[in-house]
Amino acid sequence: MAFAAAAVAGASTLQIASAALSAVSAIGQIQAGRQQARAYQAQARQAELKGKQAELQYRQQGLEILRRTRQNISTVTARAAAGGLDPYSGSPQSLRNYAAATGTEEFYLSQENAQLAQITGEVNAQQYRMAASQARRQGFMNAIGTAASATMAWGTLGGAGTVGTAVT
Amino acid sequence: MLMPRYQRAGARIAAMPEVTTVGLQEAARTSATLSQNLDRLANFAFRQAEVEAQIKGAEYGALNAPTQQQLDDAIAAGEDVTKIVPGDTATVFGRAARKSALSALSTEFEIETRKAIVGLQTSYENKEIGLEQLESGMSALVAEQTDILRRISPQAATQFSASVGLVSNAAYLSAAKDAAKEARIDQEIRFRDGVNLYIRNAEAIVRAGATVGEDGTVVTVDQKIDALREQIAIAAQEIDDPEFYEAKIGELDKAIVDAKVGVVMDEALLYPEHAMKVIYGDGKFEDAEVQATFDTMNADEKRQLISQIQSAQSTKFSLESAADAKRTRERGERSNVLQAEFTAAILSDDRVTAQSVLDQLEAVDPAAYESKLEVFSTDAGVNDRDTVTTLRRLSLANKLTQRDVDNAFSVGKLDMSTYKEFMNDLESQRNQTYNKAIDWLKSNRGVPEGTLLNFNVVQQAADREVAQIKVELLEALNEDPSIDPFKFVKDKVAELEAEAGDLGNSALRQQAFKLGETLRSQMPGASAQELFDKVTSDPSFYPNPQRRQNAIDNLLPLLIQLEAQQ
Repeated sequence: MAFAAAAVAGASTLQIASAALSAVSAIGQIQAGRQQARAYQAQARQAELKGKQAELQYRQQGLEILRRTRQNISTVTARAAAGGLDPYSGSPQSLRNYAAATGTEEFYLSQENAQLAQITGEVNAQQYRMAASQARRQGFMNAIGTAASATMAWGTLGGAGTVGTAVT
Repeated sequence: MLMPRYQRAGARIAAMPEVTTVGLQEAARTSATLSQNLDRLANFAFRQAEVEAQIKGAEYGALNAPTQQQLDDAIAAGEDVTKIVPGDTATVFGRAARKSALSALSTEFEIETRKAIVGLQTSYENKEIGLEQLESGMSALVAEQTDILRRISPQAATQFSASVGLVSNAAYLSAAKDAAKEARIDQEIRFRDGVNLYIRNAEAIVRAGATVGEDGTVVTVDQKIDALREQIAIAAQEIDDPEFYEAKIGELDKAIVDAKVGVVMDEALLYPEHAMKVIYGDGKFEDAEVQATFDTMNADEKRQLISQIQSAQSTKFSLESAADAKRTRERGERSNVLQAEFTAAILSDDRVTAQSVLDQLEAVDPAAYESKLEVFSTDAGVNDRDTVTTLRRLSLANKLTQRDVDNAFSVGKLDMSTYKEFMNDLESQRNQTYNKAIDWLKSNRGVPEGTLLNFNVVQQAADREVAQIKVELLEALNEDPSIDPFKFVKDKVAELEAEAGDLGNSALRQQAFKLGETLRSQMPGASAQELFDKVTSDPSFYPNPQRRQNAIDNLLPLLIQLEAQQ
């Protein structure tokens, strides 16, 4: 602190103004990093919601597939029985097997899609949170760089107290 | 019986999900930011280090720059001169050191070269070398120095050559201008001298008259003169001076006229009357060349000829007159000396010497001789008052001559003492200081100038006083010629005024005389005593009480005294 006070005491008005502006700039950079981090955090939450929404849509699609499968099997069984056919053999059974196999396939496909959507949302949210962290870090780094540059520039300016006097 | 077949709901594999990499991108950007900041700081530090290296290199180069002598020695030793220059071309420090060393070396070269150029200029200005030597010297100097420097750095050599080249070119240009100016002046002097020679030759050309060339062609004087005019015109054109042309043509014309007049004057001065007749158209000059020259003269030249002949005759007459006057003056001076010697001999009664002087005087001044012979043969007489008064007044008027005194002595109206007094007076009149003293005395006492007769009482009193003081002065001068006449007469006037009181006061005497004249306007012919009685008894005669009292107390009694002295 004593060194800084001595440096400021021997500095010109322009030097002091330059240092002050650099300090304000550094603070601004930190603030900018924080604001950017907040924006990324919001985007992370939005990505989570978006993943959840997609997951629910796929799960709803799976339930619809199950309902249609049961409906087809019931219809085949009912119509075969009504027609005097054995619903559990022959063509009716084949139709029922087809419906069960295809419906199951589609159901699992929708389940996997739902899971994929959930993971995607989590990954994206994670990316945004990571970006938020990096943005905050960048703000600090820019501020440190600005402060360091200003300090070095200040040091190279020199002054009456920093140069040697002529020896007579 | 229709049994439904299961229709696919359309579930498909979801499209490839959009996975953002913003986190990784930001991480990468963070690394980049960190890198940029570190680079910025590093660059800053490197720039500072580079500046420091440049400064230190420049200092090193300046301190270790080789001298011209070191270079010369290295060249003489056959060494590689590039090795003695500090620094290199690969590093900042080396480049700065090399640049600084080359700059110092180049500066030293330039200083030395400039000194050498100044030396050459000095030699040129001192006429020790010519313009060509100056040029070759500077060229050799610059080339030699440039060559040495080129072995180290062609770039520095080029800069050096350009810089010194400007200096040497300027020096050469200045010298060339000076040389051209001198050449121009020399040429102008030659032309002017040549023209003056033409003008001086004008008289010879005129006197020579027309001549016949080798081819038998007759060249007249006018043709020769025209040739001279052309030469003058050419010379004036060469030196580009119209005024010179006008002046020299004028001088040539005058020289020609003078020559013509001179040629004719040679004979005209011998026979001026005949010459005037010829000029006015009666006859011819005896000399054919003179006649030929006269025939070429125009009216104006003839008028000048007449004027010069008349002037020459006038000058001749003036010289003769002056010679006569000189002889007369010398004779007069000699006469005065002899007369003074005669007078001295007579006054000392040395008649043998007086006779001898008379014999000499007879040849010099017969009139004076006659006058002195009368004196010599006459015995001294008795002073006649009127004669003495007349002579004295003549003396006061500076009109007294020896003849006047001799005549008065010869008729016996002067005794020897008075004769001696007047002779001494005449002798003293040659003394300027004496004359000034007498002039002052006359003025102080109130003796009128130029009047010899009809003196009034005041003037008579002044006349007597001046005569008395003058006699005393002459006696004093006779005893001691070194006395100051001016001081003497002043002292005497002071004594006179102290002794005589109002009677010696010339101003008061003048007032008294004027009062008398005023009162006599009422009483014509009245004496001073009668005027006094009238003023005393009759106040109305002179009514102003104050003036009347002054007249009764002072002026009229003074006037009475003055009249009593008559």
